[in-house]
Amino acid sequence: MEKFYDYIYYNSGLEWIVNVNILISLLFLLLILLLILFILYLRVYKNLRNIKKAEHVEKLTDFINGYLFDTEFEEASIEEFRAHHVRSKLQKKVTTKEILIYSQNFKGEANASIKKLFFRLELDGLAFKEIASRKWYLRARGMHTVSNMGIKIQESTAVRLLNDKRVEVRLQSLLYFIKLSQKYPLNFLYRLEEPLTIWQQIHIEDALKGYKEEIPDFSKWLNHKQPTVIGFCIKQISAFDQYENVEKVIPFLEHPEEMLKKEAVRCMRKMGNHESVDIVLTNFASENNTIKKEILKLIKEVGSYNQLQTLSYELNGDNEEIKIEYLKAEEYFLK
Amino acid sequence: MKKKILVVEDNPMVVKSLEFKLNKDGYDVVVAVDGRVALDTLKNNDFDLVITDLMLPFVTGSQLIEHIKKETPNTPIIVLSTATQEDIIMDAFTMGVDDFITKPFSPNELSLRVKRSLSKT
Repeated sequence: MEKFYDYIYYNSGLEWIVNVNILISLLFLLLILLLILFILYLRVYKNLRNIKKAEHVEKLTDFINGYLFDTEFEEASIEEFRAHHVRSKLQKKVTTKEILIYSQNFKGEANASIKKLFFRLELDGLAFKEIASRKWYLRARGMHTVSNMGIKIQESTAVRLLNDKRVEVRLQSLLYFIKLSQKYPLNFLYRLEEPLTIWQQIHIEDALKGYKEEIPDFSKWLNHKQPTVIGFCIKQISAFDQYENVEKVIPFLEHPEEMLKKEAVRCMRKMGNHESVDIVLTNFASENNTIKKEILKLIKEVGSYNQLQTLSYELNGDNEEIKIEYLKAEEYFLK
Repeated sequence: MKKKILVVEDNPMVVKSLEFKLNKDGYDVVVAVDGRVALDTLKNNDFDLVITDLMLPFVTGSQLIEHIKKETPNTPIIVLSTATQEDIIMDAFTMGVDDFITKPFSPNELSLRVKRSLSKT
């Protein structure tokens, strides 16, 4: 190598610029080689890790199935399994994941037993560590684990994560509140400072479908500082037929925020509120197309033909979408 | 002689648990991880009971049920699915399934339902 170096620099008889080029080319070649080696190392590392994971899952599944279904299963083997197979971080992570899958697929006695096993394998410690982590995906995973295993964490920590800067952590935190609150599943909304995303709203709606206690009064959050929370509550008022709250939704028909106005018009339509039609007709001309379409749908479903006719001037306008919506409503009345 | 059960399920955890539990209950269990494998298995074997998911790769649970009902109408079928919609459950019963269990499920309950379905044959 030294000879080669000497040749390049002293004896090649080439221009210095050519020598520099050769040197840089060699340097890049070396970098490429290093990069290839690094990629190969990562592949090998990942494959070995996957093999280890698969082996652990295999052992774990046999152990859990024995624990759940084998009448001759010895309690002492839990401690033995923990000491030998739930030691490293990877083993704890894989075990937690598998236990969560079991708990999601089983109900009744098997579900209760699997939750007991989670604690006996001392996996709650890892969840607490993850919750305190600076990495957002670990915080989200930790919250997912505690909410599914029914572990209560400190109120202040849960509230902090509810307003985390990452939406994924916020989602897991609100699911934690819904799953662990026995009586007031939506009280976390009082503490929510960040916007409620559509995805989060879908999760809350889904969780409420299986909720066996009394559904909360959604008017409690109609003065929330987050418009997304108000919009969600207006939607839920109609979804759960909370007719006693209609009066509280009516002011939103004239709200400056488009999304809230749209939700309020939709709510009135779903709840068949006739009085709201006159209110929305007053400002119809100044509304944008989205709201106009919603109003025309409202008139079609709960209004009268006379009320629709007061908007006939729209047929002379340029907006095709509104004309079509108007004609649909007219067709409905004249049928 | 041990009764033979075909379990058609693509979730490895559910497959392993069902296999373990049903073996413990004294049945012979054959597993098919998708609808295509299930159809192949059914060609060469007779089963006393079939437990199947509805959402399966390649051949759906409904197609599989149709096939079983055409070829061996007396084989009882238990559907094990995450579907909770009434129309899906009704459709399954209309196709002739004997029982419908929704996930998450109780393994002990499943075991009893298997026993009941087999006692009818």
